[in-house]
Amino acid sequence: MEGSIHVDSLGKTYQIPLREPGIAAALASLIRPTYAEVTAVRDVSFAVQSGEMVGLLGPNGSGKTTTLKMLAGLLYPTSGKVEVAGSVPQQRKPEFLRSISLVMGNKTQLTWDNTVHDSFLIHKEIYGVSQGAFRTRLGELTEMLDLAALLPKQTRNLSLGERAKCQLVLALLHNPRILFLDEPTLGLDVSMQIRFRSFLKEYNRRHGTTVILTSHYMADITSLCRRVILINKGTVFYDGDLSEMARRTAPFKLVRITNQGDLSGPEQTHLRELLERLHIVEQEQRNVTFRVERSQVVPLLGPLLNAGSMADVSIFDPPIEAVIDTLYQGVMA
Amino acid sequence: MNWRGGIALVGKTLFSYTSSIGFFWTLALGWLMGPLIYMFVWLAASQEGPIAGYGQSDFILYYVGLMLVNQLTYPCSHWTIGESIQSGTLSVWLLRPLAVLYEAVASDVALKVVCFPFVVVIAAGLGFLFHIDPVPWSRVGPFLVFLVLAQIIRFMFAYTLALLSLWTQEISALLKVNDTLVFLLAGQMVPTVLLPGMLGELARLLPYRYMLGFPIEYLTGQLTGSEIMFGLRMQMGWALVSIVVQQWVWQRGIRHYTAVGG
Repeated sequence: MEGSIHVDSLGKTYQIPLREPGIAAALASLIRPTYAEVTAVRDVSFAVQSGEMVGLLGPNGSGKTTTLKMLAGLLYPTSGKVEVAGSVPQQRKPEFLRSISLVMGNKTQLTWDNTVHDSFLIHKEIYGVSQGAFRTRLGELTEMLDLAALLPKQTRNLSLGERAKCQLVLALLHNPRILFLDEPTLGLDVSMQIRFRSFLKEYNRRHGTTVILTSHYMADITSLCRRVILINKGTVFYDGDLSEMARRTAPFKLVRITNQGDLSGPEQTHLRELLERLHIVEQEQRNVTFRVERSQVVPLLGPLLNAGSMADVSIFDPPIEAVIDTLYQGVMA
Repeated sequence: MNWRGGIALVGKTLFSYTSSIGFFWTLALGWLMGPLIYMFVWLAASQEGPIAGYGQSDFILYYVGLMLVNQLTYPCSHWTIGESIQSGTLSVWLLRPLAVLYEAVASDVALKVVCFPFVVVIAAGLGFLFHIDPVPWSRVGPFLVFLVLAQIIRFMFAYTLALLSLWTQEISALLKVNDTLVFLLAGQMVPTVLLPGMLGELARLLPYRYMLGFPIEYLTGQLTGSEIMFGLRMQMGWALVSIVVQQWVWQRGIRHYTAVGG
């Protein structure tokens, strides 16, 4: 209950001003402004259990960030019901706000002119964290993210990655039961992204914090979330296991072979005949990548190895980016 | 009430402002210029004799008082609140278990703490220069009450206007209009008791005089007992109205917040 989320037929419609180009239209809009209604979230329903890590995915403008903001109590829903940690988010009761954290990759809650440690102390006071609990949590988080050297620095003097780390620690100092992460690794380099992910995984394991994550980096999703909710045009079109989604959307494996000789040579006739019957994805010199139905991979291996003089064979799942792209293209078509 | 959080916010803003104290003292110097200029204008105008009961020493006392009261009641946070709503920074404040109002109050309190010593030094220097007689101690208590009420009214009006950003994209012009009305009707350009006819009557009824001029008029001993009681009732009434209107605007406006960015 304390870390669970229930969303039922959630909807959010914005009214935005419209105007034709030019000075005449600008003057006319003063007298008679025109508005258009934009539905950002149409009908979203899902439930998240305490301790789950769920990825909220969707193309740009799909409604995922709007959904996240409604879950965090920043936006009033136009329709539907939301319950987060037993509270209605938009009522913004102090006990609700103490039980959540929202980390936005493009906004910081650290105070620009203050030191990181001062920002943490202010957070402690605002959330009413006891001195003992603060010391314990700060110690744990500082150690996990190797933060000690950053504490006496002013926020303005931190690099993007350092600021992101401090921002995450700040968000966790009051021990929220639910953590909303909106593009938390935005702009971070690859090694910082990896550290972030391993930290979040470990933190979730230790504390059982519910995590809802949006990210355009698929590596964030694949390494952290077993379950994904895909949103497009404000509605959920997939909610379930990430690997199952990949299997359903792309029910094939990719096989990449590297032949010892040139594929155009006369001794490669058998291999060429075999490849002609397959769905080739990519071909360059001695390397060929093709897709094969999952059930056909093993039966194909024998004839394949006999057909040519193989230097290497790799079998792998299609990249998750390609799976998601296939899904997006499918639903947007 | 989250006092602990509120005090922490004041501390945070204070740390932040003290790192740019030169900027804030320059700002305070700018705010002093207006009263100083009007003081010299009225001193020149009253050379021939008192104007509506105001002699030269009264004008000096009035404008030195105005420097202090203006500094203590001038709210700055409404400019940043409006900008925060439009840029989406308000989201950060909305996530805290603390009313957004705390951020604005903390910002104003910190600004006063940073700027007030500078203003006091200037005002004391002027008092010494012009040989201002000390104000009787008996006036200090009621003056502080009027000062707090003036702060509430002035802050709440500006803050409520800033909250209109929740509906519209640009409110800085409205905030400037409000500042102009304060300039005309609160007793900055001219003590409100000197405003003629209908304008004077309007100033007595509108909230602006009770944001600034009334506490100074009391401090300088220009008001009769019945005028003081009338002023107190008006201050209490406007303070109540401003708080109720602010709550009403916030409750409705926050439903329109779009949390842009991110």
